[in-house]
Amino acid sequence: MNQQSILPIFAIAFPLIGAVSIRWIDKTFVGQASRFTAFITLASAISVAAMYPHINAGKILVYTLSTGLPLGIFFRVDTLGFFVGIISICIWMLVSFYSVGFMKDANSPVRYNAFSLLTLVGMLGVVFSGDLFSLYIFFELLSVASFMLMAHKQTRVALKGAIIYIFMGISGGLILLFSIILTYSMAGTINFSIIGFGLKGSPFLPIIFTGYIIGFGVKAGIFPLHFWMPSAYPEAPTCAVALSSGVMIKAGAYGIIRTVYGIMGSGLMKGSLLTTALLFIALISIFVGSAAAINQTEIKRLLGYSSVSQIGYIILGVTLLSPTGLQGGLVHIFNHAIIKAALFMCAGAMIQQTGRRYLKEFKGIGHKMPVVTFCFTFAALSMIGLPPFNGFISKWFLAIGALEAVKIGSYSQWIGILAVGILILSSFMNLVYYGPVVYGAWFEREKADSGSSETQGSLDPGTDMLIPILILAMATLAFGLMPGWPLNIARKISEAMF
Amino acid sequence: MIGFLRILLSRIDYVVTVILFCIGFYALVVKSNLIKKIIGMNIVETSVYLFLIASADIRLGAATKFWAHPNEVLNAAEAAHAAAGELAMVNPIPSALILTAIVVSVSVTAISLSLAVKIYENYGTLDTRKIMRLKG
Repeated sequence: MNQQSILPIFAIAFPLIGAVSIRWIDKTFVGQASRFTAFITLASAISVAAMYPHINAGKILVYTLSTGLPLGIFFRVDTLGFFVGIISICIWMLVSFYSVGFMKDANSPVRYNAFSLLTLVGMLGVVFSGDLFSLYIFFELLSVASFMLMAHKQTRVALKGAIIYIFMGISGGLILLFSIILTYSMAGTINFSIIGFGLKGSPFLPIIFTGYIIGFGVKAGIFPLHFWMPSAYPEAPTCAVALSSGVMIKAGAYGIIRTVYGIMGSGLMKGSLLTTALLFIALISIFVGSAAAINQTEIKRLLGYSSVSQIGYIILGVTLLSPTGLQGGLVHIFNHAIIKAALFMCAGAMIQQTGRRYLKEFKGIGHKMPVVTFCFTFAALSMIGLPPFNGFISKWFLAIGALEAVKIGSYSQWIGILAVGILILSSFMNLVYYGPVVYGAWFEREKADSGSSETQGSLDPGTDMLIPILILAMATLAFGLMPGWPLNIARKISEAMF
Repeated sequence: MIGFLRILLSRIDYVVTVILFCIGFYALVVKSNLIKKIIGMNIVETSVYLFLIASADIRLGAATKFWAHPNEVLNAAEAAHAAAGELAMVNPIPSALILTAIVVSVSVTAISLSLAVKIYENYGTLDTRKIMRLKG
């Protein structure tokens, strides 16, 4: 079952070495830092993909990086870790190739790329680590390194957003560490290979659980802890925002899955008041995120609030405590990563090419940037949850999961109906805030230069930025028509959890 | 509830930890000066370390010797315990974990102080209430 393997070390060592050596690379081959980063992520992606045959055969890859201390850093890649890891590294690779074009004229691309690689180390470390303490170390690395991405532009607004981000991130991390220590002293183990740490009946159980939810929830951006997201996003480089919203918030969601199904165990959580509370937080998160997004006038804030709502879907799937619900939540991690990265990359291309950022200024942009707007439309339709796209698949499974949760007795009937109702309501709200953007982009004209826009050449960015966007936009359709692969892996994971 | 209280009273060091945590968290949330916020963050960190150490503690326990030779001479207290047949060892793992946690907190403090410098350069103040009121 367990198999010693050095592959997780490879996946993490490539970006780590890259982050250290990038300044030297930039001096030797001037201006190639971004391209170097992209190929480093490609190498890391290959290492992660090479794990697939072992994972598919039902093995768990383990490796202990001993440091001479009694507890080394312990890597353990099971199906859940691999699933979140492969989608993270694939999105990261595409965004890195996109940022070759995007960061061309930005200040200090070397610093951006070095911290992007360090953040990748943190992200892969979180999903591949085999005990809570290794997870904590990588989680903090993720927080600190991604803070440098958020503050990259060093403008006043960027610093204001970054300070909210770092104080929330660090307080969350400390509360998480507090909970980890409590778990260790109560249960005597922090190793993920045990399912259910035996905390049943412990008087500290509510404190431990709340600590984990706050710690991971800050990173995930669930409802009461989401303030860093809309304040840090508008001024951060758009490729960093695509990474944060597409990938990094999944580290929080991954942590919550580990908490509910690994540390607590589904048997302990069933019928518990704590799970019901988390379910309601998820539902409020879905509703508040969508409602706040409707009022936004700026595209990156709109997408940020949309992420709050979408992370609520994932947490809802986790807390439903039904196999299909968990499957839906896991598939939504996969699908949301693709969709949100595509949306932010399109938005970044629009902002960079036109220099505009408010929604009302994007009217008629479909005629100037047809390819980017086409991809944006695909991703937006997928986010709304229209059937041929992949957003529909996960929402469908979440709705089925909510009904199944009632059937197997995890929740009473009216909670199931409420969950399905909120899911449908939120889809309509997504339509309300994505609809006008898409409609305006294609069918409305800008007043100032009406008629002259056709005579201008296309404003679409160069191929190095277009290709990653196109790949992701096609992936929204491809995984909507052929959802077999993510669904199968998610089913395997949820079967192992129950 | 009685069980909860008994656990609390038996480990008074945990109570101190919680009080320290609350003081630090109060400073982190309520104080408007950035430097005071960072000091509050450090107090929270200290409380978590204290908690980690306290969770490992055994009364009159000996320090674990990882790299020591097995025949190394024990000190007086350890020798007395060893003679009684109960050489209680303090759990070594939290002490090892804490080193990493301290490294994390040092880097976090460094990065937030550098941010405070940048904020002061840009806004001319460290008062977060003023910073949030000012337009970018």
